Amino acid sequence: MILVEDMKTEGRAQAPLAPPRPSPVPRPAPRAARLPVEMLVLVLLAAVVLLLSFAPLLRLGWTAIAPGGVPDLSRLAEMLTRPRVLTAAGNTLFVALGATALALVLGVVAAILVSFTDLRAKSVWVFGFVLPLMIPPQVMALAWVQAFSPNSAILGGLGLAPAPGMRHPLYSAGGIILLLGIYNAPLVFLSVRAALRRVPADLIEAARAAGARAPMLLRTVVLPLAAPGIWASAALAFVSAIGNFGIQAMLGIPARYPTLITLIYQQLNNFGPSALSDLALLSLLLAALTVAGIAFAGWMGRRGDVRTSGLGRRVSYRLGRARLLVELAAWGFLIATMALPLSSLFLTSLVRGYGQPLTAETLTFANYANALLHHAAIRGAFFTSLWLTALAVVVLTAMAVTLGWFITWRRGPLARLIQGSADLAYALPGVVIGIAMILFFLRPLPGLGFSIYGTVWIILAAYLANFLALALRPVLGGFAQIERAMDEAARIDGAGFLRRLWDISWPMVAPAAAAGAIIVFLTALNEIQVSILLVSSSARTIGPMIIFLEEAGSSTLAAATGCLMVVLVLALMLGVSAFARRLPEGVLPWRD
Amino acid sequence: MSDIEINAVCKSFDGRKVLSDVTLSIRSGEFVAILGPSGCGKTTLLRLVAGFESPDRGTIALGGTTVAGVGREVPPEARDLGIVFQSYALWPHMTVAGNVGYRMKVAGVPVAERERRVAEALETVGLAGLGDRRPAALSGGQRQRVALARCLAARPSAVLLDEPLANLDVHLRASMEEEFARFHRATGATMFYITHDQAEAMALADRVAVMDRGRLMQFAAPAELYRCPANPMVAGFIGEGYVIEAEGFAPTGPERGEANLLGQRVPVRCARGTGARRNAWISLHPESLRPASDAEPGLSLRVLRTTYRGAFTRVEAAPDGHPARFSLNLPQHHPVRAGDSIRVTLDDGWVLPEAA
Repeated sequence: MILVEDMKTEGRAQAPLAPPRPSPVPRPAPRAARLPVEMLVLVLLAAVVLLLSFAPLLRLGWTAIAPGGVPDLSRLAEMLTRPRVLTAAGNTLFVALGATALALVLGVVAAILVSFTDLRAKSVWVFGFVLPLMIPPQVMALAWVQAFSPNSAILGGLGLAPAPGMRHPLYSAGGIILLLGIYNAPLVFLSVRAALRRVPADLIEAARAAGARAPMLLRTVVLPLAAPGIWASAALAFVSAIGNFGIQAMLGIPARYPTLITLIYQQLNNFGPSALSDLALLSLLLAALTVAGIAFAGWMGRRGDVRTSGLGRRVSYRLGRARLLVELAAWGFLIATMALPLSSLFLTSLVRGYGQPLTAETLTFANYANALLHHAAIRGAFFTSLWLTALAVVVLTAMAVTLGWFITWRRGPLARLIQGSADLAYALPGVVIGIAMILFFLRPLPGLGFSIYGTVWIILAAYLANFLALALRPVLGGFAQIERAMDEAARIDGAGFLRRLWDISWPMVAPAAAAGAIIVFLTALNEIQVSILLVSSSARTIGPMIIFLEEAGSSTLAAATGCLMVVLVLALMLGVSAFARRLPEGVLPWRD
Repeated sequence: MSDIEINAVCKSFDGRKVLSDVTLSIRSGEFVAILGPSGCGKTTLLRLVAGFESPDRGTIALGGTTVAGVGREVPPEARDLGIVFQSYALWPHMTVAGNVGYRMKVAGVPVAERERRVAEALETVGLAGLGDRRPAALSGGQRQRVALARCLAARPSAVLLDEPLANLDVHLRASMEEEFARFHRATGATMFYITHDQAEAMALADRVAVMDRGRLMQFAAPAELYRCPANPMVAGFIGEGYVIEAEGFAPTGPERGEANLLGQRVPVRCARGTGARRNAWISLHPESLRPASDAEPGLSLRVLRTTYRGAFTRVEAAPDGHPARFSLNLPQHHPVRAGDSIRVTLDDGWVLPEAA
């Protein structure tokens, strides 16, 4: 926050040449010992990032291993062999791996179809396919639950609804895997599509000239060359699945199918901060599984040398008569996984009581009126989420641009440490960050005498820690396109560090930073896993609200709130798309 | 206008030595070209003078003030330099006038004076009236002129130019060369011009510093580089020169002598005070040799290859049974083919002061 204040300071004519003048541009005389503003800013930045992300994680690790101040291995062994912990860990791995496999299949097929075929209306389809990424997972889960409930309006109309009294089909490990898989397929899609686009066109053309038909071409040339991208996408999908609180909680808790995340959540709810040392250990276990998944995918992706040179060019296969069939399947998938659940959610939001059929008599907008006007907690949560998210976006954008400058043009060890710590905080499940934040900020701040635990400020701190990497990524892409001489030219013209940051770097990376800001805004607005552990009666965000409403039995109000969130997200996405042409290519994930 | 003193400067990157012990003394107002093949360290030298990098050892002084070395480090923004970057480095989000006037804006020059001086600088480089354009709307040559105007308006005491013509079409280079010369005449600023193109360096510079593999090879006026190269690298790099080994050099005057070349005594030039030596390396250019008339003694060579060059034919030739290779220009009315025998005589040769 100190940084933001720093940022604010801010055929031709042969004319005769002007003779040299005795008065050059006035400039400060060179001083031997200048205050190294640049160094100061970097140290400040490092202090903020390390304090917000690195120190809490360190604290978490230490508390997990040594709750009493000295490493206690017997307790460690005893905790980790408890049947509940083992079951939860096993369940976590099972759903995360299953969901990753499903997401890989869906995402790779989608990426191949979009990259290599003459599918019509591709950009609309891509928008629909990528949409789950931008919708809060708990809203998706709620929509699916309602679509497949015995009194589902749509399935009931088709005669496909499950019989009443039967256990809800999605309240199971399979249901969690299905939803997590569909939810994370866009992550795989985006990463694999980028990898496919990098496959040099001449390698594909050489294979075709050698007689390879499409399936052969895919199996022997395209997919092997895209393998690093596919493994990277698998890591993304795994990390996202293992840390997805919304779906695991909405389906897993009613199904009595505990995973590490829901176990942590329920233990914190039941025992409060007194259970923190146990929770720290569970969080560490979750973090270890996550890191192991990333490391495994990274290792797989590095096997084999598939470096290529040459440019990817759009290659398009004609599907011929199969095109209509493929299109039907592709659109059918979107209807089944997006349109059906979301319309169920919408229908539920329009009736007074959950389970009522929608007729002229039962139609009501009372839920929307409640959510927007009467229900103080929802209104407050919307409001808190909006300003908290906006504040986090402003701070993170300023931090990302400054940090991007150091990472791109200075490359010191400190800048790398900051980047690594931001990446770690982003990769770890939000629940882990949440526990780390509680541990770190539970006690009163030194010198201030009060604790930020239970206030919105701890949520802001968690947002800053968790989403810095998200804001940084597009900014680094922006910096990569600027030549260093741009900064050096301003330096030669006498501009100091902050002045250059404001005059040169900021305007030049602004489009990329804006794209990053949008992504951070949507993510922070949608997130649930970070704040679910940090919210209190006086500090609520909108993400967990759906869970609380659903747990309290207000399904229709939850549905209306969910619909409002979807509308907000859609409006933001379409709004940004309107000036997509001014943004660097590839920063808006939903644009083809 | 200030002089540039580079004294015993060394610089390594990741343990790789990029500059070794470079000493260069540039007079105030002098136009100096730093010439060398790619990777010779010339751009690093510019970045050290500019202050973007600091030397591992040695000192750099501008206008009598030490700006780098012995514990001092004046940042680039306080060195009062102008730079013309290879890519021009024009800020795309500012107008042409904004680019040219940025330095004055930073320095707090009042708007009215700033605008006047920007207009003046733009007019000087022939871009009057284009101040409101964006750099993206300009041609390559126009961008180069904007970069020059930015330097002009700044009135720096020294201007560093980093291969400023490398990105321009061949036909634009000649007119920009003239522009640089005019700039230098009019401002009198010290010019530090990096290039790998010897024609550019020879045409523009008062003195040329030839660099190779991080070392300064020779620092002299263009004519001296051509006529009196200090070592085999300079001899081979400048003017398509080459080096032939001769024996039995003996001085015949203060700067003249004779040596045995392929069994013949030939007259050569040498540095003052060069004593007799058994082996001497003779620097030659294609222009140093001409066909011998029948009355003259000459060297017998066999033609290996001929290349049509328009005004003349370049001939590669060698004596039978000898490893030496000669190259010379023959007028078009003197046709030869590979395998022919020719007799040539030496008009000029220079004994390298440093051995190969």
